[in-house]
Amino acid sequence: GDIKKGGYCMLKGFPCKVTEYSTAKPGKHGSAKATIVGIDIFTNKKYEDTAPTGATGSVPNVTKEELEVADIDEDDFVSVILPDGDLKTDLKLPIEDEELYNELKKVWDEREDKTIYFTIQRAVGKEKFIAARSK
Amino acid sequence: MEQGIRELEAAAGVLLAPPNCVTNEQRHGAEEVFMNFRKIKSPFVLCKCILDASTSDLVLFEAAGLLKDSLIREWSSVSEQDLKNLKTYLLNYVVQKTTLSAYVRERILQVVAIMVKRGSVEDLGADRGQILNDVEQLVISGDSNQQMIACSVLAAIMQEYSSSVKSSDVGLRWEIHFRVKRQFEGTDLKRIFHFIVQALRTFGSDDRQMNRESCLLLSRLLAIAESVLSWFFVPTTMLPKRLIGVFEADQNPSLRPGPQWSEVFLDPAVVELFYRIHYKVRHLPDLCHHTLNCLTQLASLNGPVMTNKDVRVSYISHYLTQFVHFVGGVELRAQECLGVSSIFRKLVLFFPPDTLAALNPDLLQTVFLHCTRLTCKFAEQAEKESASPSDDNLSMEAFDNMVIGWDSLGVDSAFIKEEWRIEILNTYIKCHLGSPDGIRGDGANEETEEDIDETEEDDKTKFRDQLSSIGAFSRSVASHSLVLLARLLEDRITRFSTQLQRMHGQSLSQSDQHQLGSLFEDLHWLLLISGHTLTLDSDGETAIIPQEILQHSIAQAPTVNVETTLKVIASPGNRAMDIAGMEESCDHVARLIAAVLRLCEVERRASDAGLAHLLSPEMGSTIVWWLRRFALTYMLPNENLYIEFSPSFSAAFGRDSEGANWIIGFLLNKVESNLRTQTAESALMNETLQLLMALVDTREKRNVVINSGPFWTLVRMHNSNELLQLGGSARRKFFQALTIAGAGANSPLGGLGDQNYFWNQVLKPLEDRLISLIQSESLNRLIHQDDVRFSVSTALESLIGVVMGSQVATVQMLFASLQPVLRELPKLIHAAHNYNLIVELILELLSTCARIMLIFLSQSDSEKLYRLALSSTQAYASHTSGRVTREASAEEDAHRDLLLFMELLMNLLSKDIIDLSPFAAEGTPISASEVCLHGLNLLMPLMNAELLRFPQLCWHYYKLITFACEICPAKIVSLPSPMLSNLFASLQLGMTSFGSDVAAFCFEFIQVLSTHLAKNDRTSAAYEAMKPFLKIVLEMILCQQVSSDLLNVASGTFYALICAYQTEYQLLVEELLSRQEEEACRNRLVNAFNNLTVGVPLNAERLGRIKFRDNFDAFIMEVRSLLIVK
Repeated sequence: GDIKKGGYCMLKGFPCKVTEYSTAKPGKHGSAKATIVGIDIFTNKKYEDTAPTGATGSVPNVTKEELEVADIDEDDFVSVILPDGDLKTDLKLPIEDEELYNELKKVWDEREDKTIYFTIQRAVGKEKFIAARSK
Repeated sequence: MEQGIRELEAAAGVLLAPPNCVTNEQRHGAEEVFMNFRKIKSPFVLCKCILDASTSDLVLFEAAGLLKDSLIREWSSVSEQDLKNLKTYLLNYVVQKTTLSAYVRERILQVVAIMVKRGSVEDLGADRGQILNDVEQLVISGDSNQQMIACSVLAAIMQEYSSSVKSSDVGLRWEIHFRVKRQFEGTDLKRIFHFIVQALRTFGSDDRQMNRESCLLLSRLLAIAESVLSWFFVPTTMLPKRLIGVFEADQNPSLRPGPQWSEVFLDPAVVELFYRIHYKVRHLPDLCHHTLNCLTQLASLNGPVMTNKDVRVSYISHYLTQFVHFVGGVELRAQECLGVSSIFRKLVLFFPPDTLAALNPDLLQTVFLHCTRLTCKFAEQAEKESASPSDDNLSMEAFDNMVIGWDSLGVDSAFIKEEWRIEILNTYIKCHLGSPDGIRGDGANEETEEDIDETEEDDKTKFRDQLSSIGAFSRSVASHSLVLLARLLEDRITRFSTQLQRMHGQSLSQSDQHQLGSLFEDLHWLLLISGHTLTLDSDGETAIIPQEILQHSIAQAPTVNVETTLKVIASPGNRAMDIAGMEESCDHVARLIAAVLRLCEVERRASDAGLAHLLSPEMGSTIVWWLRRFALTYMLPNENLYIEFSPSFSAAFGRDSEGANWIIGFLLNKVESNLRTQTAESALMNETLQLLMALVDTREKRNVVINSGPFWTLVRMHNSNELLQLGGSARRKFFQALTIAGAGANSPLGGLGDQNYFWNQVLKPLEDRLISLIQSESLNRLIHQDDVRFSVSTALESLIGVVMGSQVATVQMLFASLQPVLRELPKLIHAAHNYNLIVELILELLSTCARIMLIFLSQSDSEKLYRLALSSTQAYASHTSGRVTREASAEEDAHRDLLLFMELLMNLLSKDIIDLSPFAAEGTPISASEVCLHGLNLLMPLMNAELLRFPQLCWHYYKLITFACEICPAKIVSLPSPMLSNLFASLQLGMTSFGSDVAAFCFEFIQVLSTHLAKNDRTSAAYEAMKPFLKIVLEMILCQQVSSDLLNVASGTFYALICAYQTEYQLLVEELLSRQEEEACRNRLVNAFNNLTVGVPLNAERLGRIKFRDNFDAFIMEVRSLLIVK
């Protein structure tokens, strides 16, 4: 009952953000079923699925954390400062997503004396930088 | 010239060629040729040549169009003789060129019609009379081609005169349209009708079979007759333009001619003729459509021609005689049903009961007997129609018309015999029941297995009007209907219960499923009909027990045993027939109610036994719908509203009665059961929570509810997290209802109904959970946990519900007790800014506080809310500005957030308009408009033109700024200049880019602000910044960029701007004039501009604006016709 537009759910095994949610019923006295369309939050691919509204579908735990960027090395590995002060250095800029890659890199390259934050999105064991902000 | 024609024909060839045969450039070139062609001045000779020489339809069409525009523009400069020659030429042209395409012919005739109308302004229709003479000759000629052309001429002329409001493109002011239309109605329209009737007579008396040609001609003649009968006759008194516009937009005006039409319509031969023609063509769907429309219009004759009652009686008497003769003599064909039903509907609407009472009683009885028969017939046909795969619903429409007719007559009218009412009710019930009692088809739904979309209306909504009329029928024969409905329900419930027991533990066979489906449908309809019998649509008003039902119960009282009645109600677990004395001494109303309670019980037991999957959510929600209406109407009623009250009702539902306590407990149990087992069905949830709301709608009910055990079960369910599955909107309603119930908590300390106890149980756990989380040091870490976010969301949803449930009596207390949690919201935004859904809920919570609580809050509490709104806005902006992302949904998310902010600010703003707070303002109050503008300033950097393309956000944004400006223009003037320039840039964009609603807001804004500037402040930066709008608005007006529905507001805006910037206006006008090369044109422009401001004080006051508007209409006509050619 908690799935709604703007929320997250697993569609065909992929973590998706719900873009369309509608219900229908098979015949006048039938039970409602939902059609959910969503976009994979890592690949932007579209998925669709249908399920009874009473069914408990699985919902991915999607987190988005904004972290200060310490450095980006020449192999595109980003060093970000975790809340406990440790450095995380094992995640690259999203090379597979060219536009995003360029945007993030541009923010970093044009930082001058500003502090740069990247938002890291995590779900189903995957992680990806998805946004940048300079302060 | 020949070369020019060849060029046009070549261009037409290109335009009409298939897309793959010409290049884009060629197409543009061809378009250019026609664009230039349309700008030619004084093209009369040229057009004649083209019409004579060209064979291309498109070129002929364009030539006619050019003629039309030039005539409108240059009318006053063309000599009378030339106009006359041109008109004769065009008419002859059409008559002689028999091979002309229809669309070219209509276009040319439109030009003729415009000339006729334009000419009649001066000659009062003398020339029009001449043309009608010619047309009549054409008809008499007997040549079918010429007859058709004659009909086209008549239709074109009528078309031009028919509307006064929409004909502005003929270059006349509206008052003149109005005058010539009235003149036309009193003279030549009558002549046309007279003439058409003559022509129809030859058809009516003719016994020959109709051939194709005569069918075509008859169809044209009938269409013209229909136009006359559907004509909107202008009222004798001059009405304002806007009112006339409303009348003219009416698709179905009644026949309300001026007094000079008396002898036309009161001649019995006219009605007779249309019936006779109808007999002749009733087998031809195309033609009988027209005749039935004519007859329907004739059934609505009213107004000045009906000078007194005798005239009315004699007209309708004659009409009804013909009607009875017709419907009594034939079996109606499918294509006639709708028309006949419309006739009935109009008849009873326009001939009130006192007129009908004066008719021959036998005639009247026969009419209503036939109509009863037809009503039943249409109902049966409608049922067959709905079971058939086609989408036709003509019989349903016909049935609806009949029902509306009965309704306007009053179903309890003495004209309608009881047996007829019973017949109609029984037929309706029969149509909705399966066999063997009913004739319902095997529901198209089950067979086709097609999914039913959530957006499709349910029966409750779709048939609401129909059902409420059937309810009225049912009440008017209460002693018949109550027992009938109860028996039918009892029977179905027993079958339903047996069926469920049989299926318990067994696999579902096809036939079981079928039987169950059929029972669901039976029960669903019996509930709908009985619900509308026992209750009325109350729409938020106090629901009243229908008089007939109350009377029936009172009348039955001597034979009723109240004990038995209570027992029947309180035994939902038993079969009705098993209760001793039920048939003889139970109140009929109570018996029907008891049946539905029994159905609830069967449903609830099935759910508890794990059979919820077998139940129908549709029927489930109909049950709860029924219970809600029942609870609103019957539970704990205010007996003072009734002159006399039923003892059974007092005992079973009355205040302080045990019966009522028991029923409320039973209903709360039903709510609880649904909340536990049916959360997946959102429609059913919605109805269930509506029922809960109905149980707390009065103080008396709240008192009973809050002291009832099942209510506390609901509270417990929430506190022990049993309601986590409840969706967002259901959760809100749930808490809204709980909070409203809390307002009833006024019992002595310590009891269930004690205020403190109530809030400690409901509100406190909710707040505590959220506050402890937000205040936790590890909030920034915790917020990334799924379960934490889930509980934050549910808490926020619940709080929104609490705020929605606040009422005058509780709002201060609730706002105070919500303070600790509201205070923390900006902090929560900081922590959860990456999670849209949470941010949105926070905004909704604040917005709901502003919408519902703010108007009752004291100044200091209001300021708390203002501050909260601003710091939340700031928190949001600080995380969002400068953010770069490529997320697919980023733009839509931003749009939703901003929309919520706009709503929040708008809700705050309303405080400046309505303030119901009981406290006087202390100190210098902060105004909501200041807060709103400050908030806008924070959000402005996050807005951009792309986001404004979301229509809803766009609308809200422009509405907000306009609203703010109207409340306090001085605040706008003192805005910091970067914001001011952003604001003005968005105004400029809004005037042309987002449709007329938004443009209207922008005009309004400019008008208010420039009025303010004109009066108060000609030195500010805003005064300078606003200046360019004078030119922008003038150009928009001149270039016809202002649509006609905006002209009014545009004129006010233009006036305010002229007042504020008089010097600049003079300069602008001079510059415009200097660009006109032609002297005649320049002179006319000079005049137009002079007339625009003549006699208008330029002081930005209301009176000046009104005077200006009158001038402006004339200005627009004049200037536009001049400037069409650039």
